[in-house]
Amino acid sequence: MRLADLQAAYRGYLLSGDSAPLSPAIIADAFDGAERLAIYRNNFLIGLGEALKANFPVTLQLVGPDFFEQAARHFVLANPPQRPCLFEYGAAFPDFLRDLPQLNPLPYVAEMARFEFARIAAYNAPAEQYVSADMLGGLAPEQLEALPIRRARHAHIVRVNWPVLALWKAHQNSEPDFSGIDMNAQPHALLVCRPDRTLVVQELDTPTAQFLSAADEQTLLGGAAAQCGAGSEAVLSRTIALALDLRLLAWPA
Amino acid sequence: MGGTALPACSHLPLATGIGLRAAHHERVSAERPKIAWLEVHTENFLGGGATPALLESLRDCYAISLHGVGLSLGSAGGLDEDHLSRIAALVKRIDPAAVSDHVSWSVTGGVYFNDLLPIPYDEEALGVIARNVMRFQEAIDRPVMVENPSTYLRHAQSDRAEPQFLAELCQRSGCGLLLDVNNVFVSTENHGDDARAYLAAVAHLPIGEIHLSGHHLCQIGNRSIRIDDHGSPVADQVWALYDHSLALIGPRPTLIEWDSALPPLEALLAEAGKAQIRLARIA
Repeated sequence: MRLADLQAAYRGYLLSGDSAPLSPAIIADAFDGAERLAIYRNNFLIGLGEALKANFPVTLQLVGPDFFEQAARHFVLANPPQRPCLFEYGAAFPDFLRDLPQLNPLPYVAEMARFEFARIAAYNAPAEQYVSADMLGGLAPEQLEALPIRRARHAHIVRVNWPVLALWKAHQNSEPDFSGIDMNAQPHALLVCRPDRTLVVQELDTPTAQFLSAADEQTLLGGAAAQCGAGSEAVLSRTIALALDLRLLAWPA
Repeated sequence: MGGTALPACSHLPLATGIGLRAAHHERVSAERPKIAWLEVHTENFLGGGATPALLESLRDCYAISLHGVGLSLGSAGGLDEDHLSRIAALVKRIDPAAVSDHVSWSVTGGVYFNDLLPIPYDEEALGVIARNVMRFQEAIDRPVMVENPSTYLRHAQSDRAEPQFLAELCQRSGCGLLLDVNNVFVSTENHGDDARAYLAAVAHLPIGEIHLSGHHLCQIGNRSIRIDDHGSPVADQVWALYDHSLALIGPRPTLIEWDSALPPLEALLAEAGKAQIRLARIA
């Protein structure tokens, strides 16, 4: 068999589990072709399940290992990685969990997965040219208004309804203490970013979340500031101070 | 017995190193344990963020080996140029003492299978992998090493033994061999071959590094198969083969690899210490 055809046959087998087309290419002895191939399929599924566990450790704790492994197996077969860097793997896992009917009673699980993936994305984002206070200092008000900006790629806004951050913090202890966590739904926004080497996570007030969301794509500083809501100069200057402090704004490429 | 001079594919110190995994990043970074070199999985450091910066900071104390698991050198469709350019950028930034990947494949039709899948040992596969290895070396502007895999099956279309295939690959592409002694044991046991004959057949190749790790013996009724899971101490039979390899080849930089059920750092260093004693005996 040509190598390209053989590898296409492996692909079909690994994703479907049907070894019949590939088995004749494998030497059978004490183990037949199907048994030998199954070792590789097992490694493929377990290895990627482990990669998801590493990327979603608190999600794993919330649903337990048995459920997680089953969900991961289905996810891997439906969404195998396209690239070899597994720290990037699982972007679609939060939505996959959200759509699982078994998790309907636990709506915060998918939100936790979204939060955990934002942490990984923030951690691995490339460095950029950030907007600094020094740069802004010399600009006239109308120049500031017209300044093109974009949210830095390490800065992620995660919109949640459940106390995801409090739950995540509780799970950092080997014996989580959930007393004091208010499990009522309340929409809010979390900022996950990495201004330097360490991740920073905090809840955002509404004006700041709107300002940063407006800078999702390239925009003008004045336009993003208008999203902050009219009125208070104090709110706007606090928002911009935070954005500069945490290097949340980058120059558009 | 071979010599102590290393081939051009390896600038690693003639000592033992350990595989550095995420769970130990913090401690190794803070405590700087006494070990000559560290090997990392290249793919874990291709993000733009804090992990490559960590690796860069460790260069002051350690020689670094970049060991790839995702380039898929055996892919008929050629290499992923985008992935290759990310590796090339990391090589440029870190200036590692060695760069390696595997004699296997993991990518086809836009899917990465995250496993070291076997290739048939025939003329077409040899041409494919030699071409891919040469492209790899061209992109990073230095010779690389390729590692012999653990295998659980043989293809009916293979027309030569693995050592011969490896020799032809080294000869055609100018690459070196990363000899994984545990993999030699696992594969030869799984296929009823003779590990010492295997080692004799590869001893003359440009071997720039040796890997040691644990594996798992899987019993199915009265049949058994060995699975390379890097999740336990090096087996006694593999230590014996390591001694035999050193006697045949000469001393080589040696790595303790541990991936699943990762033990505390001390256990990893202790395992490296066992290899160091054997290495010192021959050096």
